[in-house]
Amino acid sequence: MASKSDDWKPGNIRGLPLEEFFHSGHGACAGCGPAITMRMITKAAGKDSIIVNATGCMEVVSTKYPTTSWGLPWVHGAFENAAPIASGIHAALAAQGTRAKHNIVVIAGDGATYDIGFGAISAAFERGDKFTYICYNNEAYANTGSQQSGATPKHAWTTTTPIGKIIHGKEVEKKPLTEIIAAHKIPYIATASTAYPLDLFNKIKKSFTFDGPSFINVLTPCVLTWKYDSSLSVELARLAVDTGMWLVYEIENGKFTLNIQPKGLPVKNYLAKQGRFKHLTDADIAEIQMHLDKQNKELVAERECVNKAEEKI
Amino acid sequence: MKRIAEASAVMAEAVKLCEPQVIPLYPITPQTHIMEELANHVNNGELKAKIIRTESEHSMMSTLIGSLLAGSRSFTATSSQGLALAHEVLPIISGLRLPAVIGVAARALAAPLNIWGDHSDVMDARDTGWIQLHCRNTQAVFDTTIQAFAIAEKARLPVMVIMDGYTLSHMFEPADILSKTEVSGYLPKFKIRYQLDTNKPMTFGPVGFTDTYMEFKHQLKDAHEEAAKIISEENKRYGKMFRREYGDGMVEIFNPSAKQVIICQGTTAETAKLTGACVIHVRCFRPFPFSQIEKACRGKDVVVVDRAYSYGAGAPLHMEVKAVVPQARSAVMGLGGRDIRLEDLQMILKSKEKELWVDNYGK
Repeated sequence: MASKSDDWKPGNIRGLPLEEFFHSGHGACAGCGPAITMRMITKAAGKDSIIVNATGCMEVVSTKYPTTSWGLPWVHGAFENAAPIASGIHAALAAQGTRAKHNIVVIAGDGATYDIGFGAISAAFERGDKFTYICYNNEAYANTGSQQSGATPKHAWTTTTPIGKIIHGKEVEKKPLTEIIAAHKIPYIATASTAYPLDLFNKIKKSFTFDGPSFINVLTPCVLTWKYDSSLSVELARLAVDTGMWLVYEIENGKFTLNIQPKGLPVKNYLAKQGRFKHLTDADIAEIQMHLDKQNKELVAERECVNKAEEKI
Repeated sequence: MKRIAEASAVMAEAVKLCEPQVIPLYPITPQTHIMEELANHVNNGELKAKIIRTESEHSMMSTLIGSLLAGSRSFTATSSQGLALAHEVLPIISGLRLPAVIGVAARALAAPLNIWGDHSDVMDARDTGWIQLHCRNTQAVFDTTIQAFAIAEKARLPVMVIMDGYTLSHMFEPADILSKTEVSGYLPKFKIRYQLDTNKPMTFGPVGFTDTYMEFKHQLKDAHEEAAKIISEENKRYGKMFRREYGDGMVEIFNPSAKQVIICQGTTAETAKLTGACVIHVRCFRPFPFSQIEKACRGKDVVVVDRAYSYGAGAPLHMEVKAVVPQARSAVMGLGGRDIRLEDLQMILKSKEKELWVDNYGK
């Protein structure tokens, strides 16, 4: 079961622990969404946590030998293997009888999660290994210079989906990863946004209480990939939620809860602030809006249908 | 106690006696018998270990990073495509200086797909910073596996215990199996110098820029030089306790007074002994025993048998030997499970060819 070292009490933002485990001095960009998220993740994880980090921006900017930003035991292996490394830690601590004293937290970007590490994650979730997998999702391979990943939204510019004379941006929809993970029926699945730190904090704390794997997908803006002024990271993370571009929900032992009701702001408000979407025509934006409305409606309807079915049983 | 058993089962028995706490598994021929036996040991309650059934060898090898860094002795086994798929993780494990021990039932690499024995897979992994120990019979599989844990944990380097796919992995031979008490008298309790510890948080696997990467790799080079000594010491210590030694631990030399020398690895050594030539079994390929080989080959006619090839260059064992024995000839044999018969070895001793691919099928 979860660590009891610092009892979790859902409160307000002022109630967050003062203790820092992701220290300053790292090399992330000014306004980096993921770096803000790392601070929140480690605050929530607390001192009894072991971090497994996949290759990516957060690993690279925080551990230039001989320096480190991490105040927690931390390991990085490669790009696609954070989940099996976590499984190894889980098994070892279980064998030693000390598993209950620790939280194991995987931190990986969307490239590591949606794409290269996906099979390994799926297997770890099938095994039911207890750890919290957090995807910090900036919708591209930002570390290698903003290439398209499975999380990149349709139409978005990346360096491998450039705005050419014939083809403009990504041609296909992103992978519905959270729903794919949900199909594994692990105890806890959630989405979150960097703009809602308390929600993220509470979800991480909650994830530790389940006797099995948890998955949290956090949308977090990348200044260089999304192309916006570095002061706007949190604002964009909030606009994504308010426009419905990113639904914030959780599925707890099969039960769906939409944690934050989208404000129904037009998606244009979100897209217009980002250079990666500046090539969009009005027709493109209308298509995105239509697709988004349909997709969100379907997701909520499907999940509520499952909720009802479970209630009946 | 002497027992007739398959070498794969004997390796599993040796592993059981070393009591690893974590065993990740993924099937591949011809290594599967090792993990099936281990799964039996665990499910029968003879071994208290956590088995992790992974979806690939890449993940299987990766779980070792977690389990070892969390402080548990760990073991796994693989072959061929599996070792190749896990290749990326091999230098990460040695770079982190983790004492992983894996069994390899050495097998050919595709294409064409071939499940039979040769050394293509382990030669492909030779530059990854792992110690590579070859076994020439079932008894050696048992003894080397136990020594491997002691070597890995002392040298802080990962070890591959290699047996020829099929010709050894599926071979039934009598082997002397030590008792649990005997093995625990030899093998110290698992200890790792640095580990994931919430009371003493450390960062493992950081980024090494141009200013530090080379220093890390220099330490790895030094560790291999030190490992050569440790391998010899452990071989001697094991020999003192259980009356079985494998040469000096690095090479085994049979019939040293003969004028002709066959240098080889694995089961080929057992056949080569029957030729009457001097046989040098290169037990340890990494670190490589240059000085022992140079000394044993002075003024002799030498032929090196390889079961792998470095395309565009030459045969890998021969290339190492040639660095210190310029007159050494090369014989490439037994690729993809092709038989290496006594008459083939007699033929290569007679041949004057500098490099010979022994095409003996049906002859």
